[in-house]
Amino acid sequence: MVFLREDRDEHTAHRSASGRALVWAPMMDWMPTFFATGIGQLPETLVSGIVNGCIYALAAVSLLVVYNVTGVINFAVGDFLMAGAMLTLLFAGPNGDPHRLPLALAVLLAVVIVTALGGLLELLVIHPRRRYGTIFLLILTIGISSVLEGGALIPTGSLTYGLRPFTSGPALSVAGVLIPRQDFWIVGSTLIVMGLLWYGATRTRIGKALRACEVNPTAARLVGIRVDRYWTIAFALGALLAAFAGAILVPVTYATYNMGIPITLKAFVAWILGGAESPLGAVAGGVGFGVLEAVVLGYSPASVANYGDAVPLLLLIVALVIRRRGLTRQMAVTRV
Amino acid sequence: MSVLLADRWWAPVGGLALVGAMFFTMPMWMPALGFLSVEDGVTVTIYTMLALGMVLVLGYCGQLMLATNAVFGVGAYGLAILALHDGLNPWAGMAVSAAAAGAGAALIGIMVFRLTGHLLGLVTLAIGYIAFIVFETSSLTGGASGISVGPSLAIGSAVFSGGENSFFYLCAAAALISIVVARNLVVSRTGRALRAVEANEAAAGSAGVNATHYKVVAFVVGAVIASVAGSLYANYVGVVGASSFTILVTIEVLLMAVVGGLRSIWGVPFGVLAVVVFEAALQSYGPDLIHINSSYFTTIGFGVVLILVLLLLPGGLGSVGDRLARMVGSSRSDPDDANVGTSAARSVAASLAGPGEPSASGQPAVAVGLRKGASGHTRGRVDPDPQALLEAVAVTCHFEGLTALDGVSLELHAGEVVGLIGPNGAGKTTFFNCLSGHVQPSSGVVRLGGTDVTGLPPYRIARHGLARTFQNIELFPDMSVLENVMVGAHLCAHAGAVSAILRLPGHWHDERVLAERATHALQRVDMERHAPRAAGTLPYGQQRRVEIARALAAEPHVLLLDEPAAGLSASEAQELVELVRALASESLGIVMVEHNMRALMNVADRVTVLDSGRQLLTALPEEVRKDPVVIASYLGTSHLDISHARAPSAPGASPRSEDVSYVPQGDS
Repeated sequence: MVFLREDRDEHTAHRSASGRALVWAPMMDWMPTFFATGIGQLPETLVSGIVNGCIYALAAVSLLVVYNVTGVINFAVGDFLMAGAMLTLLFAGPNGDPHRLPLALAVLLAVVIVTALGGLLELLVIHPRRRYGTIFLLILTIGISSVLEGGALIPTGSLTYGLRPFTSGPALSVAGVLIPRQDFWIVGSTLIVMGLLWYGATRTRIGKALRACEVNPTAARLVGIRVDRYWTIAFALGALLAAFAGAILVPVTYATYNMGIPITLKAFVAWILGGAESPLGAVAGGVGFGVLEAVVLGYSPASVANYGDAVPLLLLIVALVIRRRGLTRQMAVTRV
Repeated sequence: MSVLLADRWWAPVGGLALVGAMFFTMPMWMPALGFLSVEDGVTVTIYTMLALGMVLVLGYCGQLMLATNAVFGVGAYGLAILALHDGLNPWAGMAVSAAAAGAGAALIGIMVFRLTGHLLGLVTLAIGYIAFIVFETSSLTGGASGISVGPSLAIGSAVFSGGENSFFYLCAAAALISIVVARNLVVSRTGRALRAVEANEAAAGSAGVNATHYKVVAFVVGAVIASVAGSLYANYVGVVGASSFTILVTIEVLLMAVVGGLRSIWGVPFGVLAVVVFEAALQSYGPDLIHINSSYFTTIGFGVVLILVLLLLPGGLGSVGDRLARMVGSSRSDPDDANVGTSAARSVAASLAGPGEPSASGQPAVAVGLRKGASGHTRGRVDPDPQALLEAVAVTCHFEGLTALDGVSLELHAGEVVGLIGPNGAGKTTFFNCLSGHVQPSSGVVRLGGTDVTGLPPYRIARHGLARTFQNIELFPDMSVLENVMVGAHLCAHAGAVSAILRLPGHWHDERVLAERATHALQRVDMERHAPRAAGTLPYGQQRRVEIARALAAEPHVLLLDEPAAGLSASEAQELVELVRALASESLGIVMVEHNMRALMNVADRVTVLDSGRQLLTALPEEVRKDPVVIASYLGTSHLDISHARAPSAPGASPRSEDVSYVPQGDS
């Protein structure tokens, strides 16, 4: 899986400036098995890309929901995902500890807690400063990101954790392509969540109100929608989506306290690639980016593939320079 | 604002003395505290240099650039690699790295500054992350094991090797110099342009400020300083490893800049010091409180501090310093003298001013004959200039299917005032935006003085002599009135970043010229008394006047006024009319959108009527007043009252009852 690059312990690394000892996290030999794939394994590469893409898609939709309602880019999205993964691990127990909660309950509990955390942090941190500019609020979400990351670091101690797949057993063969069982869980549950989201957005009162807030906050206020409250709901919903992504992801990757920022960056890429406007675009951007990343890294020579995340992130910059429509909506021009 | 304070001679001197004292005493008091050492002093100086870049770009320019770790790394690896492979002297290595960082910053800046703020933050963070991966992976940088640095920095026999006090003093000197560089940059024509871009990019553009240029300047200066910091750091640690250049460095620098105050150069070292002390204390005393690895607390500690500072003290330590300095300053300094050359400029401008003609309020508000560019268009020229100053031909503008403007044409000659009227949504402001470059017309041609300027960005159109005001007053609220107007005069001077940083004669000359121009422009709108006040604190009507002064300060040939009389009292509107007349008599061409029919009809030579994006007619005011189509679409009749200007004209005496006289009799 090309998902995360295991970095050295980042949080202590900077201390070296003052001469303190560097603490090196256990350097995992993390050359993903994926890089070993040969040319003949295109189907597996694609499947792997789609699976990663589902995670990016969930995180990108989380970014989108928060951004559309509040105008804030939630830099902590990856850390909410990390929190979902860590709490699932905590409740389910790594690798089949029998004394913990059943898996479904563990996932549910993790998602509920992170959702509440998202709403709570909005109320405590974003709420008092919501009239400030978007950059100010983005810096606040960077603070939230550090708090979540640091909060996870204290109990987990920069170790990496893995979880058993939701259903055990050998990879299934579909038309000659071997697909790990967890991949089905990831793709399937992503589809279900997106379906529920669509239903919620179009058929429920809260969903309609949320969309009203994003289309025209002033008009929404005039018809009696308490727009401020929907900021909280948007952050909670964003946290929910991210936490769920973390929960279904953790069986296929290792969870560490600092897995969040790379995921935030990739979710951001997905969101931009999808046009930064519609959830469908974000999903397409997520899956598209996942596949692109898998193919690029899978078929690059090792000298390039060694750079891991740097390769797809470079695509981000290219994408942004080329594709600016949809990003410039709020440029000064429209203010005049 | 700190900038006002910074213009008093004692503020920079005092700030420098305070920071210098803080820096150079660190080797004495830091070890005495028990949990700090001189090495923490090195950290403070190096991170001060990094945080200065953040404050310059984020605080003063409003651009969230999160690639600090990348430029920091360029400086460090540059020094090491150049020494290792090319045997370069470390000073030369430092200089080459800084040049490379500056060039890279310029390149990246030009590429990404087209993006808006928060997207920019994530893109640059990605750049920082990529840089870290490259540092960690590339064989050039020694991969995960890092690269050792060659000989230490040395001057003659004095060697500044890391860990020695002499090296600390070198770092402290470098940090002090960086602070002076940043401060000089911020308090200058360039600095005003930066803050103008931060406050309101559209308005800065119409004043002729090329936003991208100034963003790149700030970014390059920050990158060069950060690169030097990186080189010093490399010299300090001896072995450069990728782990020193993670994204966390950037976030920590952001935290330090926020704690110090994003709008305060002098706050930076104190913000850095506070964070370093906090971190060291947490690591020293944390384990006594909770028995786990103390370093685990720093991340959450940083996050909590970042949030708390933003929530409780958004201005950071710098705002506290400002408040203290203001308390000290108020007893010492006349607020009118707070700005460079204000009083001098006032006396110069006053001596230049003509006898003036008393305005309605009895103030000598109008001075004639001072425009620099007036020589070509002076009143003395009898025959009208055959070349139109402004020519718009069939300007059309679509917004996603909606046609906001449909083939609007306009011709404006020197000394002419054209009124632009029409109901709300008629496209008046859109037309202005097309003329000034804030909106690109879908088709049609705009010429200024015969030059085709269609579709050019606002700052380039401003160079062709067009200035404008905005319907919703787009001032730079945190800047003083004088500074606002000095930004308006931006194009009358040329001093750039280098002369600002080095305080070359060109800088002083331009400051004087700009202050004079600005003061003169303020006199024309009778606002020079308020020059030192923050523009955002003025009442509405005065803000309008400041905005007009800002446009005048550019000494334009063409002036676009978007509802200049909105919110003005009857006497203020009368003064405005006289000002517009006086300006026209100096050969300016003026286009004016106005709902105050009385003011407009008094001053306009011709009136163009727009309705739903179409041009109904262009005619003399009297003809327009009587035109049945215009009456139906805009002016209205006594029973169909849609005119803003006539809104209060209920039967009976009112100050605006004259407006009624513009309602034609017996139509429709």
